[in-house]
Amino acid sequence: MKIVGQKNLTKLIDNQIKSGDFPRFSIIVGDYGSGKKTLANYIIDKMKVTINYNSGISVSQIRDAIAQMHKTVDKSVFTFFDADNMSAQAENALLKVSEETPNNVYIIMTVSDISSILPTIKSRAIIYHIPPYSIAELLEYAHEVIKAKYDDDIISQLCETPGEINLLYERDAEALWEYAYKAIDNIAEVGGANAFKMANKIDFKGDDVEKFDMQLFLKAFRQICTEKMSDAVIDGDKDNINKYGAGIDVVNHIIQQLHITSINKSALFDMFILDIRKAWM
Amino acid sequence: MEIQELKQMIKSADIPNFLIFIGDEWMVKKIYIEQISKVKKLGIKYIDAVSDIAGSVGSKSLFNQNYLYVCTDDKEFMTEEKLQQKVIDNLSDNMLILQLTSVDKRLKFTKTYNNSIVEFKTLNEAVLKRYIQKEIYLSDRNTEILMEVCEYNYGRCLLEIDKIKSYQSYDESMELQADVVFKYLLDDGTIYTPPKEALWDFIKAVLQNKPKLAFDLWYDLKELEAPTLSILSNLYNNTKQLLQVQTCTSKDIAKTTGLTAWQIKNAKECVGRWRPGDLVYLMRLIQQTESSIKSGKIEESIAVEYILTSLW
Repeated sequence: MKIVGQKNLTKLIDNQIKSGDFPRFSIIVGDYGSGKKTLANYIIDKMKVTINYNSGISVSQIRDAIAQMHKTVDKSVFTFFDADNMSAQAENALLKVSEETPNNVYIIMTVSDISSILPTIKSRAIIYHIPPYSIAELLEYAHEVIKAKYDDDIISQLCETPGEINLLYERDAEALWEYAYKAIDNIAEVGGANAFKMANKIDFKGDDVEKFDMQLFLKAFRQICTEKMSDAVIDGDKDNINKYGAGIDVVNHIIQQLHITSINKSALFDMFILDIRKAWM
Repeated sequence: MEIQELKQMIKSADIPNFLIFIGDEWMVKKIYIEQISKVKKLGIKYIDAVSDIAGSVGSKSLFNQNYLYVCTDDKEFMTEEKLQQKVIDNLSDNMLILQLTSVDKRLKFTKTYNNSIVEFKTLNEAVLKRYIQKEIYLSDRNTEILMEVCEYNYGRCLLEIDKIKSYQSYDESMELQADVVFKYLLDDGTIYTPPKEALWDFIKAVLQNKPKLAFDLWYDLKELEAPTLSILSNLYNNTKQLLQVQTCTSKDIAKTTGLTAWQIKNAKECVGRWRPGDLVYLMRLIQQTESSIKSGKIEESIAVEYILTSLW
């Protein structure tokens, strides 16, 4: 299994597995698309387990998984992916088994935000943070893993994780860029009733490949504002410097909120439209 | 595939032996399952997991009977390619229908079996009305009320119609008309009206700038234990729709805003009571409150009162 980047982390994990010291309960932390699941599968592969049990995160699913843990005699890994949305009740169900893991059982959890996990659970786990990717690593992923043929500039300007590169190429990177340009030119020009229609091409649920990923769209918008602001600085155009500077501030504020678990993305995008129009009209 | 295509296949009895049913209309799905089982002359068997039949399909036995197997949300089947091949390739005269409550179009399974997916969307109003009036003789107005109360879900409509028929048949000598019974059961609460109606009254009071009424209706909603996030979400959407309708200068509001006729009608009832700037303020207030609930900064239980007091 090919892992792009993460050389120090994979070296540490390889050594731990080789010496038999890999922790019985571990949590992998990383941004969306940073490769948490890939790393978990890498670990499972390296450990050569007999049973690989992937559980949901509801209370009943966790209880089923725990029942399985006590029955298993072979070397097994139990994974709980995207545990950010695990309820407190579900986390409490895991408490005992995370402290007294049954023989031959290894538990791996993945989260985007470690603060979403109960301190009592956190204290029982070894935590692996996936560090940010360098541009070279991202380009390596784009060219060697998904064989992308698009402009390297688009990848380096918009993507911070392999997951974002996947999203970009699933959905037409050039169309995204064009749409962001169109949005910048028109968002403050159209009538109020029309402005909200910009959201029609944005995918809020993460399941429509015909639409654009919200975070990538915002990043494209920000990148174009940055380029226009640079041009304005060269031209000494104070109005446009302020305009595009304000645009960048709005996008940064919205992107920050995207990381709140279960945030209403559609409403957040409306706020983006309102804030940009307020700043630019 | 579209439902029409499946209908044609049923008519010609040429139905693939693996299908995936998605969508909210559980009753329509059930009807189709029964139709398919009749046409293919297969008994229906509901199973918990597809792996339960992995051993029996494709095995030769004197006593093997063929069935239409129906399974719901089998995650294991959706992720295990070997199991998929083992079962689907060996179904022969059996059939398998996998029902999914939600579908992730990014999954490999969904992409591989895309042609087997049949979506049972909510029936449109005209079709639903016709189906209801086939089942029971209700006036057009009462049919519309029934549809609204059942949130345009055919399955729920049938359940409520069942109540009406049961009541009518209780004392056949009284010859109670369905309309009379319907009205009685609705007022009585036997036909369940979801908090949405109370919710819509509350939203209307806020958007019509009626603080006292809004607070009174909020206390009613509290008693009904309507979920806070649902209230906020509905209030937000209706405020946004009102803003769009109020600020639309075009004659064709539906085309400009993309809103449905129903949404425009509801919004028009509230136009002019707030300035556009106030509606924008309300939208921001609701969005920030929702975000604060989800990040733990504000208690869900005080969120609605917080919004109302900030607004007025």
